[in-house]
Amino acid sequence: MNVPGAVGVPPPLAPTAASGRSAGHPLALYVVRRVALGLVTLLVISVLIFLATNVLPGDTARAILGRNATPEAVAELRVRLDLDRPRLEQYLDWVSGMVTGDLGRSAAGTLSGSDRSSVASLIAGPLANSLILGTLTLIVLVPLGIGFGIAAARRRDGWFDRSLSAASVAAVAIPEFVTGAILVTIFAAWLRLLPAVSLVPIGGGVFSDPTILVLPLLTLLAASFAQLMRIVRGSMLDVLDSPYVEVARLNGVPERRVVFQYGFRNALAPTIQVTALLAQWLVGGIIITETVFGYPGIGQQLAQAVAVRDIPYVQSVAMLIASFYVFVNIVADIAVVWVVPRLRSSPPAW
Amino acid sequence: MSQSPQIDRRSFLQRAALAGSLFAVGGLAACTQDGGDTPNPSAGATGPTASPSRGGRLRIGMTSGGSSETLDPALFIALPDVARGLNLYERLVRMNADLELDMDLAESIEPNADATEWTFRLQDGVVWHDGSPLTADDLLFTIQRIAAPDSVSAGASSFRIFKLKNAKRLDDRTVTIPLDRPFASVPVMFNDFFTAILKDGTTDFNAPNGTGPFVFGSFSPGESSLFTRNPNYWREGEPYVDELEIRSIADDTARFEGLNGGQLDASASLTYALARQVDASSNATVLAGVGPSTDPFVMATNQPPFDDVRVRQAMRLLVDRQAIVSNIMGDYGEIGNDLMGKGLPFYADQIEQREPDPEQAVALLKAAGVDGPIPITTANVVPGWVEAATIFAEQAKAAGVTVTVDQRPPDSYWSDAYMATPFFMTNWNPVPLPTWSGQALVPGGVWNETAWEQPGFEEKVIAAQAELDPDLATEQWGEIQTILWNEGGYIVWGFHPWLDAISTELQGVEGDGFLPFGSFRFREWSLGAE
Repeated sequence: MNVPGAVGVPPPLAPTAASGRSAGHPLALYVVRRVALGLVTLLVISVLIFLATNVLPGDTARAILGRNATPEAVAELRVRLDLDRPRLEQYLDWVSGMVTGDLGRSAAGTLSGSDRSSVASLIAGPLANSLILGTLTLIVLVPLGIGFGIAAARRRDGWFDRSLSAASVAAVAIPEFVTGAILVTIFAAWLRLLPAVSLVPIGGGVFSDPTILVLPLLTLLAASFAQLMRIVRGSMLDVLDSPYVEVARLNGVPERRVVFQYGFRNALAPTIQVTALLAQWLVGGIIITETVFGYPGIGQQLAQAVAVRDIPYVQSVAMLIASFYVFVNIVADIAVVWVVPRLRSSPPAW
Repeated sequence: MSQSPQIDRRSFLQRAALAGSLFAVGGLAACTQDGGDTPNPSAGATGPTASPSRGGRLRIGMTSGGSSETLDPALFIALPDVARGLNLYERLVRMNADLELDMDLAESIEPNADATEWTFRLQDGVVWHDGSPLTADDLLFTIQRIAAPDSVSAGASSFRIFKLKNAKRLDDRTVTIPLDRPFASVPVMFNDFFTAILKDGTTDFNAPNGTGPFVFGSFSPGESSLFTRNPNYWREGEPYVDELEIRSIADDTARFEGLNGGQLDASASLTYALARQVDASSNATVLAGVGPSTDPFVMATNQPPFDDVRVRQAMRLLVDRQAIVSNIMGDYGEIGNDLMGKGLPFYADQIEQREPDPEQAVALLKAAGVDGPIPITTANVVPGWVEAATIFAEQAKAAGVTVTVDQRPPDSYWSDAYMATPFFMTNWNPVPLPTWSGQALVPGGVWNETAWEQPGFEEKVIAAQAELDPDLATEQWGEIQTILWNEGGYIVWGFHPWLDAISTELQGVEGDGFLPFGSFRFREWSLGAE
């Protein structure tokens, strides 16, 4: 046991006083390295995405025209989409466009002659809607998951702990479209309290009628709550069982302080990691929920684009999603290093 | 499973393309003269005779076309496009519930003696949403736009038949247009929704101008649109409602739940499963319109084993059509008799209904020396396809014939499998027989799916298409269909309905076999009775 007897000294993961001064420097370097790695990852991903959508058999114009791919229509569409250039040029054009915010032109949008055919303008509204739904979900999910996780750890094996575990795991086990259907049946069909379809009032935004957010949010919560709550509970249990916490208690530290400053502080790292995972899961999970409720988000739009084989759109949005994943990973990694003092003073090489 | 897919663009574009084949010297010379139908507001699927109420917002749920949704008729792909288009704009003619042609924006469309010139007379007193009057120039502009060299419209090639430079204006609303060859089925060309009449000079569809019962308000592709009542609409008294809201909702269940929960007044493209749930206690009722939409099996007559007519006949005898229809469509739908276009003019009703005869089928196959498994190519492109092929394979198996189901990925079906294997599936929406023949039964036809090329047949088709006398035409088409019934390559096992759900409160609703919601005649609907 290398903990000094003084109350309030952080648990064994603490750095020694001597290294406190140099903690900032290695961390800054780590951030730079981490971001650089992220960018390299993105570059590799962009090549993979481009290969996947362009080099496989099949042709962008033919794919979207389907049965109506007459030679004239295919030729006309290829011209409109600039498809007759060398692949490398198309790739470089696309990547440089992505960096400056030009996400290319949707094949379906071009075909329909809409002057809103740029992918960026097509996704603007739906992306905002999905971000709203996703952010709200996280805002509710994180405090709830952490709070209940801690509470369950403190009441370990009691009726509260067990029933919470059982209920939340059951909720996760049910696929979102079933959860959604159940919620719709109860709250929309029987009780008539909430809308079955998340129709945005025309001329307004998603907040013009906030009731349309409730059921999708509940569905997403049901599918993710258990993961967060149980990880928090698990790491809390680990920490609360450890010797230094026992010593702190023996030294008379109030229980509340034991739980939060000693306990939860050390459960933070896994909590951050699982929150990052859930944020990434949300990107995919939101597609199903949006479809079930007709919520006008990017999940629905992406599903449509895949169905009609709008390759330029899918390509750019896939890249966006990949960027989001990489970004979340970077933030989570940095946050974990920040929060865990031993790592903060000597961050990992990569 | 729903009877109409999320993106029905293939069947619509294909239906809309009145053929790259330049053979369609069609048959419908006569067309009814009355200036549009008079709506009967109380002939609804609901309610007793009552005076329809006015006002309110009609909320319609449709399938979704995503970001391909547009307000440019030349580019309509998905059903929501058509729903909007047929209410913002109007066509010259309209196919009614009996699948006959009624006049709509046109007062008359008359040929000269040898069908080389057609005179179009528009309704009197029609104004555009912006207040200007409808003139013959608008018609000429619309045709010219469809036929333009850089047009991507499905009808581009067939509309080039009009020699617009030699058009003669007789007055503001009457114009005579010569053709570059005799063509008798001009009127039905204007039934397609891409022929919606546009104002002369239109280039921008962000705030479109139309003559229709509803005026543009707002539009968000893939989401929603809101139109308002046209106070100057040329049909007196219509529309009844003040506002028309159309929502694009991709998920079948969500769309239906919207109606159930009171967020919508009508929900299109009901699945058969959901239709069974609608009963007397719900606030919704099923609107069914059975028409000539069909998903036939196609045998390529130029590829083995189907180049032997005995094999084709055998295949047709193996099919128990009623079993397939009942299995897939329940109480809705009708069986087919291997002929296209049931209910449309010239359909050969008089030909006896083919019954399954497995023994004869086996005998024919033996005589033709066909032994090995026969694959049928299908994909989950249209709901019901894979099921139909699977049931057929089982029926064949029961008779001792091996038919295998070759299921392909849906998104590459049209480019890789359609018309590329000897035995595949297709779908067709209502196309009149004369037009359809030019697309599918002649060697140059754009969709000659069965690779049909019998000596002397094309001449018969051309003659029938040019025949102006209805009785003679009926006889000639009857002969043609008899040949097809005996030797052709299509197995038309059934016709599927348009199934929609409407609120029990609605008045004035009438279904038809041509499009959902009675071809989207929202101008006749009202939200209740007074």
